[in-house]
Parts: sequence; structure tokens; C-alpha cells
Amino acid sequence: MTIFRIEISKKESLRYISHLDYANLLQRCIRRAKLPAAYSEGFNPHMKVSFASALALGVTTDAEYADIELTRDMCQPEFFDKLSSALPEGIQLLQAKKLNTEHPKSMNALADTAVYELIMPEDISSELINDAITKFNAASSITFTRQRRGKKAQKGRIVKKDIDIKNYVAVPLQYNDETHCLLLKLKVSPNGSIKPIEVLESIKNDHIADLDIFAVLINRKALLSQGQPLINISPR
Amino acid sequence: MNKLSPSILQTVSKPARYTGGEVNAIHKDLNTVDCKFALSMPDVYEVGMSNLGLKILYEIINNRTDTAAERVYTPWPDMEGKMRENKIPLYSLESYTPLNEFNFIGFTLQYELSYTNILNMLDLAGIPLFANDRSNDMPFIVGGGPCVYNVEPIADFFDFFILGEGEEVINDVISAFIAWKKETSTCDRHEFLRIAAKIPGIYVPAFYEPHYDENNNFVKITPKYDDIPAVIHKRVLADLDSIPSIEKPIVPFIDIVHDRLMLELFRGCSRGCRFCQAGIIYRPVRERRSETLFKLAEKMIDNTGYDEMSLTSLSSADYSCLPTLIDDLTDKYAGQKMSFSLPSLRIDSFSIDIAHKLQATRKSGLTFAPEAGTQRLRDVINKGVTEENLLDSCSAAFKHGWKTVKLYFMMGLPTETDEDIIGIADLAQKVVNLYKNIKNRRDVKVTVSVSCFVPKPYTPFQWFGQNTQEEFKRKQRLLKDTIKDKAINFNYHDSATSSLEGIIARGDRRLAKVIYNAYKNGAKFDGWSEMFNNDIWMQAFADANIETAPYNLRQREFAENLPWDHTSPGVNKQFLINEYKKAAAEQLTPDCRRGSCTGCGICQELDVAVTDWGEK
Repeated sequence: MTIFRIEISKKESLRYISHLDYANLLQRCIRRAKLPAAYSEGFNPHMKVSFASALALGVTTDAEYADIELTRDMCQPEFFDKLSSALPEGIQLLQAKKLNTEHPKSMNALADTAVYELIMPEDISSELINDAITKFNAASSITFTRQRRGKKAQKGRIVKKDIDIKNYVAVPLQYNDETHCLLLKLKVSPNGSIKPIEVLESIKNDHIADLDIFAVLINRKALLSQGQPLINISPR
Repeated sequence: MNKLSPSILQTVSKPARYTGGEVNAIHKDLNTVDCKFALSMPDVYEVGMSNLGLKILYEIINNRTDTAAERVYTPWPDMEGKMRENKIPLYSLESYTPLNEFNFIGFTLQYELSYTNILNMLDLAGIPLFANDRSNDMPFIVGGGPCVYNVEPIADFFDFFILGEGEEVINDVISAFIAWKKETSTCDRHEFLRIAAKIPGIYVPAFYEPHYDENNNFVKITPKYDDIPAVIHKRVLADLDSIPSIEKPIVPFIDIVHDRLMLELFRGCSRGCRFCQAGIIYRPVRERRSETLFKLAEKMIDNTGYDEMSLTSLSSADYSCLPTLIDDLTDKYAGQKMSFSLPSLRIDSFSIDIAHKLQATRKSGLTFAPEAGTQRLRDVINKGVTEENLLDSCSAAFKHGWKTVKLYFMMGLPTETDEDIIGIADLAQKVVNLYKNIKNRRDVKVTVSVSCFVPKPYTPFQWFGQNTQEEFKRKQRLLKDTIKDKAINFNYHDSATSSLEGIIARGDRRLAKVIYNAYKNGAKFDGWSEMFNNDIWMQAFADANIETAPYNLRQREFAENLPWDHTSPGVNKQFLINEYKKAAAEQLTPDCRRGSCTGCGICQELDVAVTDWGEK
């Protein structure tokens, strides 16, 4: 048995695909590519593919990762070519690495930082943004009320939870006047993280009332472990 | 071309419904084709994308280099709101082209309760709703699918309809259009419609005039020109096996209703259930060869990466080469975790064995359709299934390890009494007891699903007066009170929707006003129970000053002309009358597939024949 770790980009045409639908899509690509995918046992066998942290709907990425388990060994170039040619428009295979272990550490456990690039809407001026992020960066704590639809016993209700955004921001926000881009480095951990859209919502609430957070184009530039892209990290 | 802003797509549910770009979607340069054809089902993406007929037409049309077919479905109300607010016209998913720039917009008419969505879509596209208000630069609005056998209620909204199987006639229409466009000096749409009306299978409603008597009763419908037929017969493929079918179906990004490949084994079903419209309108039975199907299956699997395939037909277990086909498929795909399923099971042990073989890995519930609760009533509807058949099948299923069974029934069938309703509960109880006897356990679940019978055109029951809503409700209560065992779940349909379906299914051209009123007052997605608003419809009838009872509750006379007599699947009316009489007499009519001809007249009228490869 062999495991390949892949790094792929997901562009505009895949922006509105949820993580679950993306997982299905990748599995169908693997089948089209006729790769010898491994399956779990039991009544409902599923393909052995595991993913790094799920991407929110509406976000593109240059750094999406998955581990694909195969039933027989194959050389990296063959794997790369076969999978590449089965991917639809909008998805590109950037790297594929054969792992040197049969039991890789879960990528979710490895990842500690996600880097996002946010293209701000044209109708929001650079002054407003600069002003907002100066205040944002200066604050020692920023309370954000996360609202989610309740599950199970709380179904039908909106569940509110106060969180401190600053706990999840790895470095101060940076803004580039020329590209009108905001750079966001967020901490991720199995114990929780924050979505870029939530940071935007907080900025809107506190500083830029006119900001249409849904007009911001969000792209995940990188998913890192100790400063390195996941594909470069030892899986052992 | 429309540009959709992220601030719109991010705030609607399931935005991938509106963005296209799926695997196997076909993108052509619309400036280089002679004909642009939009294909639509007037329902939400997940439903429309599951329709087999549209998948077939999409490939057939796109196989032509001179024509592009693109898709469009009904935006869910949240997206509709955003589109109206931002003045975004309805557009196609491939090239985001506004719909009014197409030459044709084809709607598949699958159920009557989707009609208001058609009007809403035309409005969103900026196209006048009534055909006679459309100018020469507007697309032709075309309808096809099972509802074309009575399209009078929506006749005023359409330029023409295609009756029957579309594979050949769609090419006839497109070729005629391209030829006309090159030659015409006027671009007068009437000129093209005159040409189209002479293509076999094409019905141009504006060229037919309905007549009513002094009491406002329908009398007849007649052609306005001498050179068009008084009765339009459906198109039917004589040799199904040689006609191209789906090889590269689109793989949606999001989960759709039938998210699996569909391999169409054969068309038609001649079992002759007397309530069933599909059983008449898709006749005769024509099978594909097992080798053809195997090759189609290989291509579809290779081109899509799907791991599930449904062996589709009206009654798949009737396919003469089924065991061979299944062996070939399961042999080839054994190591690839491919699963095959049958959508419809016959009530016999052969079907159970096949289902067992197919579901070796994924064991979902089994579904049977006894349709009626007593032997007497099953004979009336010519269901040809006995209680023994059902119990034998269930017994085989339980021994194979199934413990969930779904049973489909109808209420409101001709000659039905309370005894027949109670019979449904009795039958379900016998299935539960059977499980307890076989397994000595109580963990069985039997779901009884009962729909309200809607008499449909071109069935032996097309003259039958539908039950009133009160009667349906009374029978539902009676059944509910009779079912005692906790192992039995009881589901039933809303009688108001079935009643409305009954009115429109056998309606005439005057109902256009009602459908228009309902649409104007906000009716949409009427087939979705959470969206259906009966008050809007009742008001729409009142405003149009149209009584509903003569359409659905009235028992019709055999002698009267019916508003749908001129759009025909080729069946002989006398055959339907005889079948209705035999129903009343509780007499059975055998399947003509392997036995002798039962005289429905379709093969003779349309010059086609039953194709069954098992005989050879």
C-alpha cells in the first residue's frame, strides 16, 4: 500500500462548492483517473482519502491538501499525470509526494496556520481599510459573537458564543494599497479557529459599516505547519 | 453575458446551482453556431439535472456542430429575489447567455404542478408569457415530455410542442429552423411555425381552434389549416438500439436528486396497469441489446467516475437479458466498488434474487407497489399481483436479511370501497407478521405510502371522476385508524395538490387564465409541499370564473370528445373504453410483450413493433 499527499489549487469555478461536494468531486476524479484507490471495509465502503482543514464555501485556494491511499504502488510521475488529466477546469494538481509511511500523522493535527488573501471591494477606500486595521491590530482583545444554527437539542435556535478574535490572529493584519488586498494569517488548531469571513464581519461591525463582506474575494494562499507548507512536512 | 457578483452568490442557498462549469458540460462559441437551444426543466437544479430525457437531448443536440444546447433551471426563490433586485435576466449555465438570446427554449413537462415555474422563468427572461405576444426576435418556446398528451391548459404559453421521443424529431426541428433562417426574407415567426407544424409529432396550438357549446362545454378542437393534421401522433423510435444515447453525462458539483448514472435498458411497459399513463404513452416495449448497454455503461463510468449506476426502465426486472447484463457488469466492476441498482422491483422472487445480488455491499430498503389493498381492486386496475406474490417476495427478502419494506398504494381508484382501504392495513400487517414468523424478531419496519389517485389522459380511467378532497381525507383517516402495529409507518399525500393535479391533467385551454392568475399571485414550485398554497389557486379559479368540479370530479361520457383527443400517443380509444369496462367487470388483460397482441393499436398506428432480445 502506498499513500500520496497532494497539493492542489481550487480556483474561481470551484468557489461555490462546499467541502463535502469537493470531497465527492475529488473521489470521482480519482476514479476517472483509474488510480488503484483503497476502500474501507464494511457495508458502505468509502474511498480512503483524507483532507486537511475544510475550506468554507466561497473561498478559493492555492493550498488544498489530501492524502490518497492506493492498493498498489505506482511511480510518482504516473500518479501525477493520471490524476492531473482527470481534474476539471478550475482544479490544478500542484504537487504530489509519495509518503514514506503507511500511517501518516493527520494533516489536521499538523496544520497550525492558514494564510488568506482578501481582495477588498472597490467601493471601500484604502484610507478606511488602513484606519480599520490599525485599530484592529492595536486592540488587545476583540470580542466577536459567533452565531450558529443550533444542532440536536438546540435545533431551530440560534446559538451565540463570544470569542476573542485576537486569540486566533497569528500576526498583525497587513494591507497592500496597490493590490487592495488584505493579508490574514490565522491560527488553526483542532480546538478551534476562526473563519476569514468572521474577521471581516468583526471589522464591519467595529469599523467599516459599509463593507459588504460577501463581496470580498477570499483565497487561502497557504496552509502551514511551523512555517512550512504541509506538503513539505514529514508525515511521520 | 451576465457577470454574477460574489455578494449575490454568497448569500443564496447552494450557489453552485447557478454557476455551471461541471465536468462534461459542453461549452461552444455561440457566435459560431446557427442555432442556440436552451434545455430546461422548470424546477430547481437538483431536480432538473436528474432528468434522463434532458440528458439525452443535451448530447444529441450538442453532437451537431451547427447547434449549441445549454441548460437552465428554475432559480430557487432566494436567487430569484436577488436576480430581480439586481435586474439579472435568466441565463444559461454554460455561457451565462440571457435566455432571450436563444432560438429555442425547450421545457420538459414532467408534472402539472411545475407550470407556474415556466411562467416565472419566462418572465425572469424578459419573454412575453403568451405566445401571441412574442415578437420575431424572441425564442420559440417548446414543450415536450409526458404532459404533452394534454397540454391544452398551457397551450397559450407555448409556440409548439413535441410529442413523443425526441431523439429524431429534435434534429428535424433544428434542421428545418436553420434552413428557414437562411431562406426567409421576413423572419416572421408564423412562417416557421407553419413549416414546423408539418413535421410529424409537432403540435402548434395556435393553429388549432377549440369550440364550446352554449353551456360552455367543450365540443371539439379543429385545425385552422387544411395542410396540418387533425390528430398529431407522437414520434417513436423504431430501432432504439441503434440510436445514440448518453455517453458523457454531466457530473454535477453538488448532490442532485438522482446522483448516479442512469442506464436506460428499454422503453415502454406493456403490463397494462389501467391507472398508469406511462404504460400507454411509452409503448411499445423496445429493448436495447445487452452488448449495447454494456458498452454504454463502460463509457459512462469511464467518462464520469461515478460509483453508482441505476438500471433504469419503467419495469427494469422485465428486461429479457437482465441476468446476463448484471453478470457482465458485476464481473467487470467487481474490484472497483461500483454499485448497480434497480429503481423498480417486480413483486416476485426473481426480482429479490437480483436485488440481493446487486446489493451485496449496500443494503437499502426494498420498495414494492401492490397499488391496491384487495385482490378485487388489484384486478380492477389490472395489477396482476396476488397477495401470495407479495408475501413470497417479502419472505425471500427477509431471508436475505432485509428488514425494511416500503409499500406503495393508491386511494380513490374506481370501484373502491372502505373494504379496499382496510385491505391496505391488513396487507401491511401480514408483512409484519411474516417477518416475525420468519425471524422470530420484531425489528421490522414496513412503510405504507398512499397517494391520491389522479386520473390521467390516455389511460382507461381517463373518464373516471376523481374522489373529492373530503373523500380522500376520510379514507386517510380510516386507514390511519385501522393501522395499529407500531412497526407500520403510514405516509399519505396532500389531497389538495392531488386535486389540483387532477383538474389540470384533464383540463382544457381555458385553464391558461387560471394558471396565469395563480402565477401572478405568487404561486411557484407548487410541487413542493412547503411552497404549495391552495388558497392562491382557489382564488385564481374564482377570478377566472371557472368551476373546478367539471374538470376533475365529473364522470365523463365515452361518447364525448376530450380536449386532448388531438395530441395522441397512438392508442385506440375503443381499446381504452374496453379496458375501462373490463375493469368494472374485474377482468384481467395480459401483457402483450410475450403473449398475443391485446389491441391497443399503437404498433399498427405508428408502424413500430415490440423489441425483445430474449426471444432470439
